[in-house]
Amino acid sequence: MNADNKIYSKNLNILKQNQSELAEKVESCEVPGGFEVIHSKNGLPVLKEGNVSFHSIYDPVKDGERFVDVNLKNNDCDDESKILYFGIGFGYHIKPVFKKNILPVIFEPRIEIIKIAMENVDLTEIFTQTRIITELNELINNDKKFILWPHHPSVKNNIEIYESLKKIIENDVFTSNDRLALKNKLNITVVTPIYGGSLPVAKYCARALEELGHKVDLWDASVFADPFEKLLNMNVDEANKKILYDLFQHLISEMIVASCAAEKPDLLIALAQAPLSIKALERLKQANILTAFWFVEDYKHMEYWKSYAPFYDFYFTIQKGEFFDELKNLDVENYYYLPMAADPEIHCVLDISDNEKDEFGSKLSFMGAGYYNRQKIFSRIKNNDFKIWGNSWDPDSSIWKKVQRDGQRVTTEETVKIFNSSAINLNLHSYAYDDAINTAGDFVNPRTFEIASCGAFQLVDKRSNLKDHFVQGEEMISFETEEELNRLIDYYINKPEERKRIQDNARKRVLKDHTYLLRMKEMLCFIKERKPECFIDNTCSKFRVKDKNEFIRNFPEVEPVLNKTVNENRDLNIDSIADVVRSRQSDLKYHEALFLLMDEFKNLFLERSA
Amino acid sequence: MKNILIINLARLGDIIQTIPMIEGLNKKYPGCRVFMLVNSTFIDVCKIIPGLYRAVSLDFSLIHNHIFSNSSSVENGYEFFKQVFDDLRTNRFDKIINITPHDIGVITTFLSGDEKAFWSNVNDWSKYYFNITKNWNTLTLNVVDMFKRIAGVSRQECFRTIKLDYGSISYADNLLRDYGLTNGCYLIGLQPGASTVDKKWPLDYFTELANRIIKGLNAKIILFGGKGDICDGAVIEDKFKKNVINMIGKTDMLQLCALMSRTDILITNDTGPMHIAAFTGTKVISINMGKEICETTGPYGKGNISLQPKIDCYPCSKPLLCSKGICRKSIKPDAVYKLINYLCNDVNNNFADRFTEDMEVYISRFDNYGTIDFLPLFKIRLSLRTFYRKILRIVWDLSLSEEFNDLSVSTAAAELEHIFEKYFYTNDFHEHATDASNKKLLLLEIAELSSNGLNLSRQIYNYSKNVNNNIKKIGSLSKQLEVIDENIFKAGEGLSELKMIISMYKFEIDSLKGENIAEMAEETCLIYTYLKSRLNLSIKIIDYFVELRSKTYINQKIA
Repeated sequence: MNADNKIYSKNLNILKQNQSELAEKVESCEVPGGFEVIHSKNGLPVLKEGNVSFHSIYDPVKDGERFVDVNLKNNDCDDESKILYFGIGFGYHIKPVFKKNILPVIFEPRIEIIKIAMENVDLTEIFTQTRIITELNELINNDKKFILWPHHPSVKNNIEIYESLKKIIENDVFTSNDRLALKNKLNITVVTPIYGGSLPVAKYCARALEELGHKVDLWDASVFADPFEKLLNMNVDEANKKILYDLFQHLISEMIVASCAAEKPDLLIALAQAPLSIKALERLKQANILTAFWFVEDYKHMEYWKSYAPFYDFYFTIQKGEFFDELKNLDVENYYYLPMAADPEIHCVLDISDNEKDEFGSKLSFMGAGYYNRQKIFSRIKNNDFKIWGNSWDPDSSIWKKVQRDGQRVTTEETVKIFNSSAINLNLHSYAYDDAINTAGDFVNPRTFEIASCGAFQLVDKRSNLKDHFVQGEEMISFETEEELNRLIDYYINKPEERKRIQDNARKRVLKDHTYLLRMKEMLCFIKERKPECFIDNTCSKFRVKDKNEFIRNFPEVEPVLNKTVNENRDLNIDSIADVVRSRQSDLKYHEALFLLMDEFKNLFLERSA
Repeated sequence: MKNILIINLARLGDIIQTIPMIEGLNKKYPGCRVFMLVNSTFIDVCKIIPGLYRAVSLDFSLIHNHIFSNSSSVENGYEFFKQVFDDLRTNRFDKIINITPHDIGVITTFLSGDEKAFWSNVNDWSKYYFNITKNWNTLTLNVVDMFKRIAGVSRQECFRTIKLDYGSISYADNLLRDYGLTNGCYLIGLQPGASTVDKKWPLDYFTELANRIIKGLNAKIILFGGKGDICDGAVIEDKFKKNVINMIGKTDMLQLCALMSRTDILITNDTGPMHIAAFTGTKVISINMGKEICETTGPYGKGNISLQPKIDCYPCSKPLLCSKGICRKSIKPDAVYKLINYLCNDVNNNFADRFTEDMEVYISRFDNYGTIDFLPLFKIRLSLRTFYRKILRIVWDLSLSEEFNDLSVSTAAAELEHIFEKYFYTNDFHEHATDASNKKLLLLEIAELSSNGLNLSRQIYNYSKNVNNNIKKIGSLSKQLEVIDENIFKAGEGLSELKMIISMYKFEIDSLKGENIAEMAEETCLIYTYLKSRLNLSIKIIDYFVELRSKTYINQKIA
């Protein structure tokens, strides 16, 4: 595939003029292996993927004309409908339709196919006459009904997305006038781990989801921390302890399943070591409750994912590359890279009092657990004004005198104070096996984002993907060796303005790109894209006010409620209107009760059909 | 002339079960006109309700269309409902009684009349009912009696049969004659259908029962049911041919009632036609499964039988999570047949021992106050659950009706003692008295907390006369009240069945209507007072049994 050729350049220019965002995506797309361009008997290029030819290897043009004729015969379109092609291929099956004065829409979920097509065939006509869509969400807000023309070779390797698209079209979701034919407000259950560093992350996620307007049920498994600790500390052999652990997990899992049976969430999100057994996940699947897991740990260090990943509908990770290959080997289909983040409401800039500065402040600080590499490397740091906070530090080591509060755990609030009070926060990713700095480490820990969000300065060890999140030298300063670390400490300790510049930039970057709100949005977008049929809101899109002005003309009493709904930037569907009525401050009026009654009937019928 | 509207948007059975309430309203307000708003699916049933002036139907199918059809719009739906309620309001109801157990009922009540009418029937029983709908298993009254109390009519027995017209009676008699039903031949009805699967006794059990009846009794079988039960009926009819009169899906409401009235015994799931049969005076044997219990939804009237599974997981609190359905299969056809034989032939035998392994058999009776109760036909062990439910029944009956004093309490407790002795093994309720005396400690603790709550509320009320100067004090007292409430809820967790008293208290606290601090404080005082009185009532009844136990113990020692 030669991306430098003239055909490609011409196609790209035209695409830039007509669909600039798509052009950007194509340019940055790396075509994976497995594709081949062969030539038909009449010399035309034909795309092949594995054993599948996308067009006839004899006469792709004639084959394309036949495709249009057959589909027109089976599925004619009128003024109220629009042809939607599934799959662009090399366009031979699309061009003949222009001769029939039909202007279709093309859905092609794979950018690489578009790129290969652009490198081999002239797509001018297609780019200027049609719109190419790559994501299901882009199909929303159409005023016409779609008639699907599947290009079967394209369907073959995209069967899941095709099935999703088919279902959505059958449900007639895209023809509404509503902004969103997919449910806006979801019921989401978030299950936390029982204890550990990821426990607050689960809570940040729940907060973010609520901020996004979803109804969130936080299933806080940390209430079981004490009995769990007791179980772990029992003086029994490992085999028996495992039995007890399984029973304990089973009980909590059953409680979660029972909770979901009652609440019927649209989605369950679990994090880290949330206590959900495989059996529970299977039961949730049977109950048609979508499950997602955000694995926020190092997959090489924590291997439980191998047993659990295949049982979740969606698997989000903070690492990619080899991890994705391993997930594919386990037949996990819907995986997605989702790095950590910060919660700016919690990880914020604080006004630190003098007392707090005395208690929490120092020139150098580190907040975290005493992993092996940290114990060793920190013991070699020369600066004496160095406070270490957190647990699992070795009391017999030389570093112990720097450890505060005898190594007791520190609360989130205190952590934020530490970050704010310290001139330099050291951020060394954990590494259990060596005292080296692992620059090949392929994930960025939450601490990186949290310190940045607090507007505090940090020195962080280099990670392979750190540059994807922060600009080196401007937003983040990283080190690769101990010598470099010490040098940077000496340099920045006396450069408060320089630190301020970098920490301010880092905070701006977090607020722009690295909040839990953004992560949750991204997570839901991916889930909705892969399984949109699970989020169809049959009523929201249809049961709404069709003509507000006429409604008010006929029933002037409804004007205040409708105007209030619109002023709150809400759609004029019955859910929003009923919400506005419920949030009123005055006594309920007759006409308001009519809206509530409609909403209650809608809910009753939905409940009965569920 | 009083115009009264009953909002009853539930199912067939709920409509039939209003018969005594409507009878009571007609007696209490002579000359009144009783309307009932119902789901249009069940409008035909209203023809058979004696004393009902007019049924008004709300077309659920049309409403569904308004909401979900492709051409639906909020403005069309608005216009539809506005028309319905504008018309309804022209009747200018003096009283609106809502017995629909969800928010649709409340909103409909609001829309159906003016403010006076809306508040006309908000009483302690209606509040109790709405609390109960969130916890059906804790209702200790039959729904029919519940409706009577909500409507504020006399509790005295006012059983009235469904009104039948001459045409329907003739139809039934002619049909049965055509099918060869002669004098001396029993007509046994079977109702194999139900609204949900968890309420259905297995079809093959009904088939086996039909087989036993045909072979063992001089009887014909008549099948009842709606169009949805046609297939089930066909299975039974195919097997027994001329011995079965299959009327499933073949009758209108009046014809159904007429045929029911000619039936000697109806064996049925807990479903609408069961109630029709009960109100035609037909003896009913109902089979309860899942979460249905005869105490609350059993067939109204004297001498009806209800069967319940004798398994640990019954009644079921989470039918959604159960895939086993043990309750459906535990009541065996053989046992039901023997019961029918017993009832038909008045056979005196050791019946109880032979087939009550898997089921409990209850028979309905009216107590001295006209309230229906289902009590064991054969003596059984008194469970702790039943012990407390019977106590709770007295608590609600006396506290919500403001009719209690010491004499009423002791009378009610003595009557309960009599019931325990007659229908249950005596040892049990003495043992349960021990458990109850432990519960008493909790009740006393909560009573003390509610006294503290009452004192604080009174203080808040006094300070509220000058809110601006006392805002901090009020704030501090409110925080203390929150702690008291938390402690009451926590302590209430240990009360088992009596926990309903705390649930009702929570419901009342959550439903405070006051518009300013003074009004809310006044209401809160009342709520704590109610709580205390219910707790004290419970304690009094428990004391009665504890004392009874002591006397019994002493007597045994002397003996």
